[in-house]
Amino acid sequence: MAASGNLLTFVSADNVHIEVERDVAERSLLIKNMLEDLGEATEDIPIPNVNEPVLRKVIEWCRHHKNDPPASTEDEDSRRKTTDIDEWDQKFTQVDQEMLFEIILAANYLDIKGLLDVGCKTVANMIKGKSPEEIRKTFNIQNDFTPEEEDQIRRENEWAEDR
Amino acid sequence: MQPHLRTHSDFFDVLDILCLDLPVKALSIDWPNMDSSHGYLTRSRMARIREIQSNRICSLPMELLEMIIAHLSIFDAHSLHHTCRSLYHRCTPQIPRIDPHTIETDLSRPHLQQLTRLTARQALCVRELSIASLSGRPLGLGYPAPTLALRMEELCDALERVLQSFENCRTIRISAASIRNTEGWRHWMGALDAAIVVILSLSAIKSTTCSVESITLDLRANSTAALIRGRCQRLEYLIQHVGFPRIPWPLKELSLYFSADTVKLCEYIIPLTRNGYTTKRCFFDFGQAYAEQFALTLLSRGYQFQEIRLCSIKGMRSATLEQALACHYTTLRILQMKDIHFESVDWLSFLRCLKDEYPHVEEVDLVQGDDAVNQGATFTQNWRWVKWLDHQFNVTYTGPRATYTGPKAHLILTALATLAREDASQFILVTPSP
Repeated sequence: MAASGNLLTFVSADNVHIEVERDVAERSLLIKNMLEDLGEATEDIPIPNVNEPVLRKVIEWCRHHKNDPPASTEDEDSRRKTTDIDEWDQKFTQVDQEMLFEIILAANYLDIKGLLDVGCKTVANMIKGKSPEEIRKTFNIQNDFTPEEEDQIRRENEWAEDR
Repeated sequence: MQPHLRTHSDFFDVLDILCLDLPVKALSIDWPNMDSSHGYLTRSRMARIREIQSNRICSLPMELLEMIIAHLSIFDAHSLHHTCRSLYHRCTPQIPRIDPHTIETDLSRPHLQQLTRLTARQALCVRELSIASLSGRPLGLGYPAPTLALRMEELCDALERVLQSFENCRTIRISAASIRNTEGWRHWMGALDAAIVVILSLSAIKSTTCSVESITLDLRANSTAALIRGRCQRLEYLIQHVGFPRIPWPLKELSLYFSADTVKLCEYIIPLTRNGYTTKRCFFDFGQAYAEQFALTLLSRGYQFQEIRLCSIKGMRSATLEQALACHYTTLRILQMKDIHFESVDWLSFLRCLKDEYPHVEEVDLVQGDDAVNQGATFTQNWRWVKWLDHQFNVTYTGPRATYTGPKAHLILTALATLAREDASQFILVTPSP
């Protein structure tokens, strides 16, 4: 199916065709730059690294945020200082971990700064205030330190340890 | 990465390397001749494969891991660092890059203990202390004392010790906004409500020699859970018995955020801003509450504000606000009004007054961002009025800037256009309408 007018067609990694409005698609800098280079897109746009459910989620985010102003340097500075996530984005990121990390990887690949930021903040919020053991449980991480290594790390970071 | 492997042992060698050093996006194994009867697929190896497939954080590319760590405090980064070998190796270079200027704490007992164990050099680097919920949990957890009074005393002592060591801390933020009632009731046992935390923190600040210049109290809470089941009414009792702590030195900046649920708290917060402080900047966000009386009381307390930012206030008359602002006419430089819904308004008189009677005004920002009014379209116009024409030296000084952002048809724009017509030589439109 070829793109027509203001509609583009994405082809996901699992070969599903998804129609998306051009202004929504242009939240992705990768797509925006590609469209600028190509002029009019007449063919389907393959998104080889992203499968259908993830691509649909990414498009959902882009559609909701299509009127957001572009991020400025000042915004980037303030982003570093806070992990506040707006209410809609909080609901959007209430997905299983597999999907969350897929969204982050897709946002990185498609160069969607806002979505990447929301994803990273969500993961940071899942880490905040937790002990190493709680983080292991949250992310299913196996503790593979030897007892000697654990002792050494504890000595290095004594000031930051819980007692 | 698609390695071509000849033998099963090659496969496991690569697997070991991937586990330790490389970000693996996804691992799928399609090896028809290899089954569990084969000696290579031991249980531990299958477990390892399952672990890599499920444990996505360890397999993130380095640049993404860096972005996540950038949002963490030094303590949280250390906790992540200490989870497994892979993250230990990958986080080690990032830890020294974490900005030590801002410390976030949820005032839990273990966290405050960590803060007291910072080295003197680390403590001196801290410029900003942010008291907020981490991971949505309530504040002040982990104090085993049986009564509230004892818990408060213990927490206040610990916080005082921490603040004593943060000699260069200039900014304190206290926020209830991120507390979420997402966990079971057991997690709430022993928690302190946000109103008590405000009092305790201000008491601790007051008793130390740290020179805090800026205080932000963010009591925007979208549920009573954020204030621990609505027990913030205890604040009234506490203030009557303990008193509200007043900071005995001048603050440069005060920011208060309330929501409709918590706006009553500002009755108690107002004494923080008693006369005599030399606060230069203030920001009041009343979260769409009908809080005109609180806003007017704060503005009329005899301050000499240089910068006033008002946000989300309903129910005021513009003439009343004009009177309240008059207290600041000799000092006011920046006025921002975002989503102010007046009960009755005369924008022309209000703007004319700002233009003619405030000698130091540099910037007036008027933002109407309400989606209902705005319907998704924002529109910005900049106006500048010529403040002073020095005929003797033939020099023109351009003066303040008035910026309007909001829907295309708004009474503010009509008023600005009228001012421009009245005084065409001195009031000019900088950005032409699109």
